[in-house]
Amino acid sequence: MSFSATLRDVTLKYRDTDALADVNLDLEAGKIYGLLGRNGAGKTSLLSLLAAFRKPTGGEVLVGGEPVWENAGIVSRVALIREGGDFDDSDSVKSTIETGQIRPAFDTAYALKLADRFELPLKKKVRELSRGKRSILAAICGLAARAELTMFDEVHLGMDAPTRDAFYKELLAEYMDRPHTVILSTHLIDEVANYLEEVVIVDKGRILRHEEVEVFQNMGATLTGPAAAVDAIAAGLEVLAEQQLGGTKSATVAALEPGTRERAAAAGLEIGPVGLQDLFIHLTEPNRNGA
Amino acid sequence: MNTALAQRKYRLGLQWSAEVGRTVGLGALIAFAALQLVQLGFRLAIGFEGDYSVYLLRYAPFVLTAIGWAYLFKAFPRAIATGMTRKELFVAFAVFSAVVLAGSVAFIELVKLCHNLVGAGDLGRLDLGGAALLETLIRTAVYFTAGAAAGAVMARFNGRTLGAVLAGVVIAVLIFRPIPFQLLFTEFAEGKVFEVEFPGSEELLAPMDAVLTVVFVLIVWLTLARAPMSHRKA
Repeated sequence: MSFSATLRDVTLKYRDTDALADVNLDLEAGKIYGLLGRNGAGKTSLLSLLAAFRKPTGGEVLVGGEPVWENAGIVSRVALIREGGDFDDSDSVKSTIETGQIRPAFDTAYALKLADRFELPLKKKVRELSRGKRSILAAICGLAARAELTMFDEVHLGMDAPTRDAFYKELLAEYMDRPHTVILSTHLIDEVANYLEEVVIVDKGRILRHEEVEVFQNMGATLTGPAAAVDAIAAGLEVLAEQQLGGTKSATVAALEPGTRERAAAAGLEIGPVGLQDLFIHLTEPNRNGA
Repeated sequence: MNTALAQRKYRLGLQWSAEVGRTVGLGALIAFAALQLVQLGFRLAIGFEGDYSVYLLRYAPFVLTAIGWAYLFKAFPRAIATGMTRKELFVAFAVFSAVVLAGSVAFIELVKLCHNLVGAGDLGRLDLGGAALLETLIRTAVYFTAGAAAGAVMARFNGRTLGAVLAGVVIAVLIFRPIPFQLLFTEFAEGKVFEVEFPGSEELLAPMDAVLTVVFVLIVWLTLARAPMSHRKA
């Protein structure tokens, strides 16, 4: 069983500032979601509400169809792993892992296996770990929680590229083995894009977009070919990014007007999907009006 | 709710109790036994008649304050991060408190018993230990819950300065609690102004400590019942 997540008219205030304002969001159970947003957009606040780390100022937060706040049956099966982990620095790595046993479903053997695979020194104190190793410890605790809703908030920070890759693969393997709901909050958008089924973009405390990845990718296109032909087709379109190498040019455009695909194909241009990161940058552009 | 989930709060409370028993509890017993052995040696060798156990009673309450503070300060983020509710944490801490207080009272009674057995006379100031059993329980409870209240406000403010200041206020209230009470009850007599006794008299302290214990427990609950889980980035 995996958990759905619902926010109804949720508001979260920090003193006079709205971290989240009138947020409505429905996440189906058993999918991998990407949560994207600029710094301070409200991603961590949103995840904190789903994990009952905070109580909303207003509105309703439901996980698995039930209110999450002070609901032991639900929060024991929800895991939010934040950057650096919420650890006691004076604990050893081993006892930090064992702390996870407070969750009835926590898989200590799996956690220790992963610790061995990622070469985590079990006897070391958490404070003695490098940032990367600390992130790995956090990721391991999240995976081994065997939760029905697992959320990773920038947990990859400090991990090197091979470790991040290994973490994503382990996450996917665990997901395939035991379907559950996963939310990945990250700034490394293109790196995780292939793992995501749906994407939620948060901007200035509101949900800007919530779509399937394919919908985002079809919102624009990447035109590649002779520079002159690309320029001719892209003229009048909203260009998100450009790259040129010699006479070959690649332009990412936000939306294709009717007939543009046909003209581009006739001009011998290759038409590819738009990069999620380029689209995200475009959609959250501060000067952009509307969404 | 399955059994493992329903029982976890009690298990956690007992786990903390066992941890304190293995460390502080065992340490106190070893220290007490060592002291008795040394005193016995002196008694046999040079006819020593004193008993220094009183110092254990004098400082034991502050050890309880430290335990209450440290365990609650650390337990809050750990519990919330691992999917416990605040209510479960409160129950776990109540179980922990009950066991620690029972152990402490037993230890204090043991010290008193041994003291009386060796017939060393007056234990000295019992203000911090309590004379009667109920008073001992109340006295240990007020010190422990004051520590827990200090830990709760520090956890609430994520160890920041405001939390430390408020925790300091809680501890100050604990230490200086007899003064305002004494001021209220001291009589004007023979032209004297207020006489302030510190620590206060036994009869006055026990009821006040019982009330303060309840206040400290309320501080813990009210501070953490809706407390957000702050984030200290690595």
